[in-house]
Amino acid sequence: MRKSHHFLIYAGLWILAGLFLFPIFYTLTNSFLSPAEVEQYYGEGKEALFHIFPDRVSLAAYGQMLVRRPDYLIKFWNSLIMTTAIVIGQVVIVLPAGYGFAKYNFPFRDGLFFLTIILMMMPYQVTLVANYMMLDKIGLLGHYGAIIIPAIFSPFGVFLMRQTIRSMPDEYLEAAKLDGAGNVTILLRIVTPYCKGGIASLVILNFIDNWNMVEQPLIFLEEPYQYPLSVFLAQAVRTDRSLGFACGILAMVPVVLLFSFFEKELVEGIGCMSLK
Amino acid sequence: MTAQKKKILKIAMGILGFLLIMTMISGNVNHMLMPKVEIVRPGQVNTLQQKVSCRGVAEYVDEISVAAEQDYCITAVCVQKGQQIRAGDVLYEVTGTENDITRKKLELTVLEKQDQITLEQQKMETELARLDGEIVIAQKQLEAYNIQEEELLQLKQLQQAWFSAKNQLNREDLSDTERAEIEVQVRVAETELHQYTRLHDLDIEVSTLQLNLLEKQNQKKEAELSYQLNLKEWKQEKAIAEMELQQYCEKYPEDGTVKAREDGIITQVDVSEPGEVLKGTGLYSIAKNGKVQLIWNLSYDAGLLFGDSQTAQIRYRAFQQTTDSEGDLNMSPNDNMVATDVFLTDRVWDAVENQWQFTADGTGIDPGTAVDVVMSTEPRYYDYVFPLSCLYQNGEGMYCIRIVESRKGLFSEERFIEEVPVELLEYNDLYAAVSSDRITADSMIVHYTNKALQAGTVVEVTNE
Repeated sequence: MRKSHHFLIYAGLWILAGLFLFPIFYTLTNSFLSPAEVEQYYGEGKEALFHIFPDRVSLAAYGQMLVRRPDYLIKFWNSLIMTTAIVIGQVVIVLPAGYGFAKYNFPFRDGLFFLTIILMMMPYQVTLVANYMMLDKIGLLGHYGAIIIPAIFSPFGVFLMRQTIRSMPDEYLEAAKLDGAGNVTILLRIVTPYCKGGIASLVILNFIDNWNMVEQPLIFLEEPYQYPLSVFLAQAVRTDRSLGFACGILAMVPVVLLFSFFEKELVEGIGCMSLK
Repeated sequence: MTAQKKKILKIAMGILGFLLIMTMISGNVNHMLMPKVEIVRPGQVNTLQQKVSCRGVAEYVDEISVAAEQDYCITAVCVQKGQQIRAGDVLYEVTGTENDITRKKLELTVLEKQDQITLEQQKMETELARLDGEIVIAQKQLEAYNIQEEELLQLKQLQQAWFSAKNQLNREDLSDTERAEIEVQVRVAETELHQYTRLHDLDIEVSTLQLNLLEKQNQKKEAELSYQLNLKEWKQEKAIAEMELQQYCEKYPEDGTVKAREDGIITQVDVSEPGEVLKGTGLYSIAKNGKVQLIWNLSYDAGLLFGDSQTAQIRYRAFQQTTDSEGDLNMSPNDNMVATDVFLTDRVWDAVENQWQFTADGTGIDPGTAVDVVMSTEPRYYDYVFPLSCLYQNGEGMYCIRIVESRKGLFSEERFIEEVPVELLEYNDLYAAVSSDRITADSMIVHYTNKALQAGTVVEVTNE
């Protein structure tokens, strides 16, 4: 009875895993379709339900992406540069902020934190117009700064860091202070190593979040060559599916590598937060 | 850092390095494969002119062909092409029996008519003479009775006296004496009258003779009138016959030649060798005034480009007929084209084409040869005139041009294509006049590309 119960659970999990992994597998196999095959199966009026395996493996889409059309590699670098800058900037900003909310008592602390949570809960579109007007006033529209700077100040990062740092025993901080450590030293030498898991989670979640952004570049950037790869992927369904599959694979690479790199810290960090 | 992380880091660095290298390579490849375009700028051309080329022909004005009007046997040809002739000049020497026979027949007809007239005159004279004789006899007879004319006068007086006495007897107012006297007078008158009774018969004879004389005179008049009418008719027939003979002699002279009927230039000699010629065969063509004209046709649509009473420039050149080594005839245009302005009035419209004529004297063009005609309107000014290759129709059927715009590019400033709808105002086979608010003096208009272009395509301008 117990074995059959486990079997059903595993079977269900495998099915779910298959369902979740199917789009990735589908993207991977279809990235080897030739343009003619894409036209044959996905052309106008010839919409196939699923054409999983290519009739003939072709690297035409990759050749197009890597050699013939530098636009997509540039879009990739645009994505990487903007996302990396956002993630680094966010870590730099939200770590002290989370530390302050977690370990310092100051007037209106809880009120400000509540406000932060409220901001986190708000959909991005709510503040879109205000952001646009502000960026216009300070002359950042059309620059990468228009994407990077607003994203650095993330309520979610503050919330995540605050929750992570709160789990840290106060004794660690008191001991450091007794040893003569200042706030910056404590933040860098005590808090940061302690919060590696949380920071890894923040990095990965923020990276994925900003790697996939579409609305902000379309609204805040003016020139198409500044757009990240995610914008093209969002449009590839209508424009160039063959190239869309190959670019989809290209877009997965950094995320997969990042996840692989921070896998252990991510699991620890989520576990730490859940324990708290 | 664990070994696994180092490994992942190496892989990540490898992938990113590969992508970086490919980015640089693809940038260069992209530049190499970038469509190359040539541009034109507004203002290089500002006028548009309609030009239509067609083939025409040079012909003499008022050229007529002369054909043989009967069978000839030409013995000598006395005319050649291009010869200036005058009416009456001998063109051909001919012999032909039919001509002579016809002439003889006509002459005979005239003689017959003359004989008829003479005969009729003789008959008339004879008849009139006979009637004159009869009239003379009648007159003589009548004169013979005229001697007794006094007696007849007396007889009439007696008759009047007798009638007068008879009338008095009818009166009622007469007395018996008077009545007896009058009755005596009546008896005396009757007695005297009886003596003249024989004269009564004589009177009747005189009347008969007078009547006979009048009758003879009438007969003469009638006969004379009848013969005069006949003579008139015969004389008319004779005049007709003489006229026919005269016309025939003018047409077919007795000297055995075919002569020119009017002045002109011989444009073509159809019969250039002695021999038999049948009736209806063309002999020669003649142009009365020697003027040359060009005639050319345009299609109806092409003709619409040129309005009536408009001045158009035409350029034309004749074709030379040459014979190659294999004996084939070839037409090759002369090198020189002659340009002139023509006032377009002599147009002949048709449902499918229209024709112009233009007098081209002194041009040296040989009539009868083909002529290459280029017809052009006066240039019209437009703000934007571009080569026709700049213009295309998009998917919605709108006329568009491609303008090269600049923007910050991936590696540096780049040029890209923008599609601009325009209004097509006029075009010819080389240029198109357009209007659009999007065109400025600095616009770069694509007129040549080595690859297909679409809006947004990054291009390299080769002739900036």
